[in-house]
Amino acid sequence: MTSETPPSIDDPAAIAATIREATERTEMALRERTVPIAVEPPTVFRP
Amino acid sequence: MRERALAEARRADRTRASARTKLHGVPYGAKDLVAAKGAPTTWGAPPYKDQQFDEDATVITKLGRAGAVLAAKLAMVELAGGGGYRYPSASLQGPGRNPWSLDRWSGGSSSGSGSAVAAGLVPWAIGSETSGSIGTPAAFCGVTGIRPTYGLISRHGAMALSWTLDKLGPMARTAEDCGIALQAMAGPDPADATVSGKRFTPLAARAAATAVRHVRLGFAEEDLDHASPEAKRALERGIAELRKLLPTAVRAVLPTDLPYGPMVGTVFGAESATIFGELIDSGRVDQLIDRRQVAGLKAAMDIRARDYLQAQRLRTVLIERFRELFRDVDVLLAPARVSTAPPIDAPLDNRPPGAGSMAAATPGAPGPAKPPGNTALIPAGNLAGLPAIFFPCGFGTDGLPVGLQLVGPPFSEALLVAIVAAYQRESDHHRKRPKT
Repeated sequence: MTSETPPSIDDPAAIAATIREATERTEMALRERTVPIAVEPPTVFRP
Repeated sequence: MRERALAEARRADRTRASARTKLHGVPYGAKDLVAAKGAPTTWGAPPYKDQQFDEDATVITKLGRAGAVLAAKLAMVELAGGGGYRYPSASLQGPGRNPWSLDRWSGGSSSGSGSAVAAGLVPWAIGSETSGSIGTPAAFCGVTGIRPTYGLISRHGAMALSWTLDKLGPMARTAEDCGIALQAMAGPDPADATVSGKRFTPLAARAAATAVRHVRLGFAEEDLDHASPEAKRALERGIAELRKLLPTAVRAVLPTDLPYGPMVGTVFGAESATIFGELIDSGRVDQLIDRRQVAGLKAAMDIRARDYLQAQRLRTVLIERFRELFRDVDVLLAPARVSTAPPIDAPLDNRPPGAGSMAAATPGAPGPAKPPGNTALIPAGNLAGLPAIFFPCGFGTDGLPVGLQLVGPPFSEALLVAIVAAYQRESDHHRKRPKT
């Protein structure tokens, strides 16, 4: 953090709001993209 | 550390007559997330400032067998940027200073690896990349770096940030030096179940020349529309120089229907929050320097399983799309970064689209209005586990380095090294040295 930084930019509430908004956008971007149910995640499961 | 380095150097001197590799007696540095006996391994983070391990990471052991001398542990962004940081100062060791201009950032999260190689403090160094952490410092510092295929190099003994994304890789002055280091670093390791067991061997001169002559280069012209005014001209020139060497160039663009930022943010967020769950639950996470990173790690604890799995399933789709793309081209070319190194005290989330790295990655941020081209090649390539080589191609109008990246199919490192080695025989950008 630098002294030149306006305090509002790094205000905890502002950071929390930024992260909350980003999380909402992320969830929306992921969920609106439909993927056929047969598509499985890559996995390291090796019984 | 000093005693260890001297002991390894003396041993290299004693065994010089029986040297088996070009690394014999050559010093190198390691990003401070790789465990080395007898030296602190701080992960760049205040909560781990006194951490020491009593064994070497597999990669350090392999390099020791090759005769290399570990001379330095190198500064890094705290926890390799897990959580998303806002400032270059997000490190126990302070902001990574760029040897080309000390008031500019050297990039992250392998900040010290980029700085030390560019400044000539070590001839090469180990870096690591989850999404951009080798490419960014390589571009900003004007050095060459390889992000290997996922699973080519053991990560046993290296800090985990994301089990399915993390890779270790070499950073050096030239592609040829990166190849020499990669040869010693790659290979099987029973201690790491994700290792492929494949080895790396550079192409012999004649095979390399033939391979380079026949390369089909994929490229999207609109990538340059995203370049900063300082970087644009040097990037254009660099691309023109490379295309002279590789005359077969065709248009190739990443799929536009996949949310690369949200995918990579969700995967590394969910995995890093699990890996650092105890740090977060105990409240020691508040000792981290960067407030944005603290908040990001805490928020990542709440990523839902359905979103993590959706991001992972989209990776399966992406891997198939890359497979289709690599039927028509052998390698993809894009700027390594579309801007030069930012000021050392500037927030990192005001950078142009495509210029971002792990730094303050804002998952789901609105995309650029211009056609994106291949500006998402760093997250896309990391999500698909593909190898990349980052290399300098000139200097911006501000005197700072700019670089390009080439991405190929899994385990195509030998071709990537051959192409950039050929480029570096015809150009001198990689020979320039900072005065600072």
